[in-house]
Amino acid sequence: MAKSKTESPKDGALNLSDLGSDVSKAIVFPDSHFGLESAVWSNAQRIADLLPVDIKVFGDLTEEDVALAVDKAKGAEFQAKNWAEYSTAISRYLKALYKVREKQAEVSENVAEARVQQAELEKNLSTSLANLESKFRQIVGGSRSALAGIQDDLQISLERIASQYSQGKAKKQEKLQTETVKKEPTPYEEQTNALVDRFRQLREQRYEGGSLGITQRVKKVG
Amino acid sequence: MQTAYFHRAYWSYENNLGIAKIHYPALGIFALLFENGIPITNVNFLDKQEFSYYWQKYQKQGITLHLGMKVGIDTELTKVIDKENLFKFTDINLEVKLENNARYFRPLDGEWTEFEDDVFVEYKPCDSLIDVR
Repeated sequence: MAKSKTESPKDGALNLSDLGSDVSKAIVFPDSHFGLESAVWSNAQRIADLLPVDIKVFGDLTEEDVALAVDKAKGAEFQAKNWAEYSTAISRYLKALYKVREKQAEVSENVAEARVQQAELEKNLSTSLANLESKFRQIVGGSRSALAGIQDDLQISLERIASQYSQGKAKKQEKLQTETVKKEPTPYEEQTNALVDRFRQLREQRYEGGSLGITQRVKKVG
Repeated sequence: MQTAYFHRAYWSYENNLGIAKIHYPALGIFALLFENGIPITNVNFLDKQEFSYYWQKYQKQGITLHLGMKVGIDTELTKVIDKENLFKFTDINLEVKLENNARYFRPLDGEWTEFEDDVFVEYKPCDSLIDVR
């Protein structure tokens, strides 16, 4: 193939002029009776060179080139297989991870809900406990005050009774005292006293010792 | 333990020979021609002509060298014992030393041979072990 009259820059990459107005550098195939011009081929090569692999698009191919291409194809297939397996594995992994996260979120949600419910229950419990306690206090207080009232009444009446009793007692005593003070010994009483005295005198005379008891007397004899 | 990547870049498994690349930070990336487990000479893998030369040479003997394109099959990790600029690759029967900025290699306890037209390729962790040019 003849060398193109406008040698394209050999930097291996397309540049802006490829997109510009210069038709000879364009990727668009110019009209030709003898197939594609070499400039077009070198553009094709340059495009191929943009790929991350080393590929011939024109010139002569040796057996070596073919063998290497076969090896490269095998290697690429091997990589493709690995990547495909990796891809399915990763997608499985990500799905599972997503599930895990979802479940974790569910667990956290449940925990939070339980917390709220527990707080609600605690709140209810505390209000009803407070209500009950106030009721209890009311009842206890009421009963205490009632008891106290009754006790007061009781005390009052007890005091009254006690004072009545003591008054009555005092009156009776007084009455009794005045009566005894007033009372002169009756003739019957005097007579009895005289009889007792006489009896004592007689006994004293009889047993010389006077007022000595019977045991003392027995001792004297012994 | 230190390791290097051993890549059978241009290899015939039936005949156990070919060109292997070794990726190791302290030594850069280099290629050696092995025959039956014995390192024969270094190869400038940046030069396509040099690769082609060996491909055609072995092809004429009826041996086809295949591009090692399968990571994990054509590449493997090999143990490196690094002792004062002397690097022993015991698994692949190779010793390399660095002296005055020149590299020498030998089979374990063999004769030292200097690298010919030595091209230093800086080691870098690359996207693809296979696509190192």
